[in-house]
Amino acid sequence: MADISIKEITRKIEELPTPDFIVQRIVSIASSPNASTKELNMAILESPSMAAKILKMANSAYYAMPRRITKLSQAINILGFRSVRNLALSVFTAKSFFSREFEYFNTKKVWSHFMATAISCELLSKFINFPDREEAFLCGMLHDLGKMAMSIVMPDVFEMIVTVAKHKKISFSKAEELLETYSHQQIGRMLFENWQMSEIMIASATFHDSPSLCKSEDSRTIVNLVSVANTTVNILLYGYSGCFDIPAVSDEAWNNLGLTPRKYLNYFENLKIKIKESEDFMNLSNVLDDLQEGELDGTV
Amino acid sequence: MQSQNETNIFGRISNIIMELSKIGDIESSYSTLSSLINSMVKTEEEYFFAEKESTLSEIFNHNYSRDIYDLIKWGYSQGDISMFPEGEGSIIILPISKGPKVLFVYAAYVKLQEFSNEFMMFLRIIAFLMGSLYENLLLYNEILDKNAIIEKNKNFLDTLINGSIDSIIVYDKSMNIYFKNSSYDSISDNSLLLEKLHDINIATIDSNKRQIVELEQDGKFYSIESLPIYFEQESFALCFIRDISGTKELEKLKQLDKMKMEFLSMMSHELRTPLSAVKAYSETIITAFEDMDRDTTLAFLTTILTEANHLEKLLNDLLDFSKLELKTLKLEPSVFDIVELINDIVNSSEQAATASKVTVSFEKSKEHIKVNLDKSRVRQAVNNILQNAIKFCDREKESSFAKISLDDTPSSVEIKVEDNGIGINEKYYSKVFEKFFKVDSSLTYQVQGTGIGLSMAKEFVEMHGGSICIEKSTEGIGTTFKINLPKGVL
Repeated sequence: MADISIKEITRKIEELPTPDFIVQRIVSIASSPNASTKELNMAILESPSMAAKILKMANSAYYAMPRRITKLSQAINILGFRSVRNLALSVFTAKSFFSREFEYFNTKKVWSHFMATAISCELLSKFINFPDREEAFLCGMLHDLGKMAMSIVMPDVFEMIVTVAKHKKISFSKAEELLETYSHQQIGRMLFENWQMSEIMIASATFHDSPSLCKSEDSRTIVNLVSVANTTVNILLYGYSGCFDIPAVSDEAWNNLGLTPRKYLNYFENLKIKIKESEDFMNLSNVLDDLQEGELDGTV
Repeated sequence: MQSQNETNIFGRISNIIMELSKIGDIESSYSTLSSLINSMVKTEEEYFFAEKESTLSEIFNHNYSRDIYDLIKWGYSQGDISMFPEGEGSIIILPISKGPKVLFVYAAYVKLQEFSNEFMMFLRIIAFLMGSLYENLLLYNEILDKNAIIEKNKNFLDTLINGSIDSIIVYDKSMNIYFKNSSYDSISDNSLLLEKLHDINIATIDSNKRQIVELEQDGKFYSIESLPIYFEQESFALCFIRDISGTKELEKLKQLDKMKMEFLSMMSHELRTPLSAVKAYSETIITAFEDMDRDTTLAFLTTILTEANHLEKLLNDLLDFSKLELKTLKLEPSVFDIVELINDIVNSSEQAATASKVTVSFEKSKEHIKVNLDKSRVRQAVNNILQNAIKFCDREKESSFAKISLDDTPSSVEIKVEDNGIGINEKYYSKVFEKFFKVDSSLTYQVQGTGIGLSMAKEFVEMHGGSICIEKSTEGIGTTFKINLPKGVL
């Protein structure tokens, strides 16, 4: 199966869309302590359509705002710098990786899986008292981007993996193992390394299906968190991510996060409600379609 | 530039931690939070909202607008830090949470619309640290409340246990007192009782069985119940001691009442026997007077006299007894020879002794012993003892005897009456001198008697300042009574 060389993969990954100047600037401002609302506002407004989509998402049921947010600067103050950064990255990801459609693979569902995992990570952070909820959200949102990269870099292999997983009722990773291909975790790692993403983002992409392999102390918690959140989303949105097994939470992750059956059940029930409430937030067409109205608002 | 920022962050973090670590209670956590926020941004208005009985309310009863309330409510459900634009400035919503649970929400109005990323990060750190701290304070308060409840319950139980008139003691396996209530103090100096308790509770622990004992100590009656209990896998003996003297007194009175009734019925029987004899003999004489010869008439009349005397004696006894009861009996001392008196008593008992086939003998150390006592009462006392010895002779034995001995000391005389009768069980030694007491209390009439003889003897002897007791007695072998009488002023 591995008749495609590592060199070729690397080259193909390098050809994939990378965060443009605007996205890079948003990411950099969001992690600079001295940055102000104004700075971030200005950076996002460079792309009116991005601004409009961020505003639309900020007003979605997921955040359940007590009043309508009409200005991007308000969204930044209300949601915080890094949440806005996360939304900017989601807009970029949708545009760069989800514009095409597959016969055997429902991109809408995959997008739902991405956003649901983001929501799932943020919620789980609250339950286990993990302070960096926005980072958890981001790591959860993009953990499976390797799959989308795979669909572009080696579409035939990708198709085969999905087909095998579906028919054998196994997980995407298990199908990768069976077919002895590069894994979406490896591809994801290469992609994020290429993008020069943070250590924890790379770790989440690399180890979310095998958290016990993560040896870095700094990333272990977030990897475990993404692993549990991802598994839970696979239970609730079965098959959306190309996994067709009956998922079970990793023992190691469970213990490491200090979960208890009661705590997990509570989280599970809350997540179920949250996902139901956040349908528009997870809807791919909301991020892809250009909205004239929103665009106007964003540029004001 | 970058490194300068970092020192700034670390400087602030240590300040935050220092301030937070000074918080000792829930109230000061609000003021510390307020001063921490104000050290970074000047607030115009501040609110603290917490859920109370499932409604959100301002902790310090500040007035707030509907708008603020909506934002607070959102912060409460979302748990995220936010700045909402409001007029010229913004409202900071800072939910303080631990895990998924929001503990309280801080809100402040500031005249600012521009915030640095750093400021938001600080709010986040404060909220995170405050969340853990506040939850611990809540738990601490909960523990204090629980302790107060436990303390209250304990005090209540203590009051109950100490209010009990029963003494309650718990012994551990090594017989150390593990617990005692305050009633225990009333028996704690009664070393004999404590010794008994010790034995009883050892038995409880050894046998693992409940022990119930009643005992008499210095005229008081105690009911002791000891049961094995288990506490934290250790075995203990739980012991209740109740002073039942009152109950015993009542039982005694009831017993006395019963004895009086028996006495009455016995007395009427005793009186009727001689009366019937007098009546029968006199009727015979009247109806057959003409036909009777002189000797028969004399014999009949003698019998009538004997029975009348007996009747008189009974009535005298009864009279004496009632005098004794009413404490109106007075002694009439006179100087007389007690040897002569006892000789007299022995002689007059001859008839009864012969009837019961008892040999009565008298051993005296001197021929004459002068005493100054009430002669008739001494006679009654000694006679009653002797009659008792004759009455309770053992009919199974081949020969019965009653031996009186008299010893002289400078100030007193000692009279012993020994018999080989049926004897008295040791447990009745002190009871035989009680009024109406008969070892066999059933109305069998096997042995005649009113049951007041010995009690009267005791009264008479004690009135003279003397003493009477059973020196020794064994069932089936015999009894020795001992009377000690002071000679009186001669």
